Amino acid sequence: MRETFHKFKQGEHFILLDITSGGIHVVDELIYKMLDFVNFSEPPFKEAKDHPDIKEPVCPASLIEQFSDYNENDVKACYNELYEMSASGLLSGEGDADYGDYAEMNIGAPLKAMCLHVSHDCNLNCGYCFADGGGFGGEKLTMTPETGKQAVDYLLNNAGERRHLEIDFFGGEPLMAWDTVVQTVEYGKEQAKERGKEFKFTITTNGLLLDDEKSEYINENMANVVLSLDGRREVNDRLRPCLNGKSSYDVILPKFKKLVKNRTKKGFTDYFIRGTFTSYNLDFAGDVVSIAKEGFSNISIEPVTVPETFPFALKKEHLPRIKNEYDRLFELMRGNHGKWSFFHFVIDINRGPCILKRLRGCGSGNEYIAVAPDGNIYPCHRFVGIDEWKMGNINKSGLPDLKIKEYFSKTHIYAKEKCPDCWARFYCGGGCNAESFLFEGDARKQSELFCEWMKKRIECAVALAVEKKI
Amino acid sequence: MKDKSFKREFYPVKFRKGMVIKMKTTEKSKIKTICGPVLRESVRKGGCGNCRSSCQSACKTSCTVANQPCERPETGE
Repeated sequence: MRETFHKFKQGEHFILLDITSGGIHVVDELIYKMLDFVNFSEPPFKEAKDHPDIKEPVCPASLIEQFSDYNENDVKACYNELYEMSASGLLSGEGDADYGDYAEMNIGAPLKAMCLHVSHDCNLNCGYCFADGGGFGGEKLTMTPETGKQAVDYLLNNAGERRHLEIDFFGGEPLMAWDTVVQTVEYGKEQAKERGKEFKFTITTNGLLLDDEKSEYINENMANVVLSLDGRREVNDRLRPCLNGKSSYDVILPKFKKLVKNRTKKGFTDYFIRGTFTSYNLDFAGDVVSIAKEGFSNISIEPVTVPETFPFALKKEHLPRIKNEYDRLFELMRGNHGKWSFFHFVIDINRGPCILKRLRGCGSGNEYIAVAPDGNIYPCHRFVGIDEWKMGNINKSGLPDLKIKEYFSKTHIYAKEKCPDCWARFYCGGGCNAESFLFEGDARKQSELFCEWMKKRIECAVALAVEKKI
Repeated sequence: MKDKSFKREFYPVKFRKGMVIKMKTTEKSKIKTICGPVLRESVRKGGCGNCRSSCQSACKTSCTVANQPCERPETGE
């Protein structure tokens, strides 16, 4: 059954989300309980006391009986407030069938973003690497600067009227292909100027090869930088050792500190320290705190995504512990006076994306693609190396495989198995298509595990946003 | 003036049989609205495509779509 509202308690707040309208309300405990019993279909009404031509709804006797432990006038007052909310369209009731008209507006959309796999090689030996040590199941390759430039041209040629475009340098470890990174950025800037476009470049790095020159270049040219570190030294080094088995933490941490210090001095605040938690560190709030203690303020710790056969895989049995840990992070973040933020708990409830964006999520395979070192195109970085999802090659003219593009452009929340009925549908946008394919065998079938931690994070994020406004 | 103050005292409710009832506005003490119907309103001015792509894979910094800010230039609408 389609959920039209969602209620939850986070901290001491009773929160009501109206799914279709996007409305967010804080309610008192009685209303919170009453929501399970209330039905607004054409209630009886009576004359209001002071105006004979104005009516007021009559609270059903069954509701008064249900809440007989409460003061009857309070029950009636709560019912009246809820009824007004419903009648004013703030408690939608009828679902969001109307948004279905917008779900397929994006078929054949021009390109917006590209993930460039400049290196299919890596200088760390992370136990959970989905890229199989950087090679994505294939050869260890480096993208040539020429291919990087062709990728820029490909994006520009297929971007239509879009002005804002994105290129993310990814790997493997992108700093192992530094020349390609620099040449691609410089070519991109030059071409963007000529063609009236704007590029936002981003890079995700393990930091091992960072030096002053590279840090400076990243700070000058990258709109965002994602720096990989798992948190506490022992947690990081257990699954992120160097190739020789030694600690990467001690090498990387000073480099990240320097980069971020210089970046912040320049006034750029967009960066993330991004880590992974596994079943080895279900107390991952401790890793967030550890990163914060090192002076970083933008922190993200992500759940590992490996098959259950891995010894550190996350499983359904871990969910209660994971949710508790998100609760712990919620409490830590609300008490930290803005010193640091946990990425998933940051949400702008008033000025988030429009409903059209929320219907389709990331846009992989349609407006977002990944390009492997050999120029092969895939729907996103997680599909790289899987033959059946190869969409074409940037060195060949023409559009990518339109069948795959069309499939992804139609992979919106209403096309997915569980999303149409889920309360979180307009917050998560349907989740990650690649993870659905890799773990459930179907890009339109969501993994329960991923849905559950996603929902918990949304609740914490909304509660923190609410707290700022009350 | 009289009409305006009168209107604030009720909200119209359309019943299925076509009847419109003036319902008395309640004093809100149990519900605090933090955010109005922003999604419904976004239908009107959404779809500009200026927002960043929002990779949701956990292997990057997975973005919950709603984490993203809208990047449509403010027009004062």
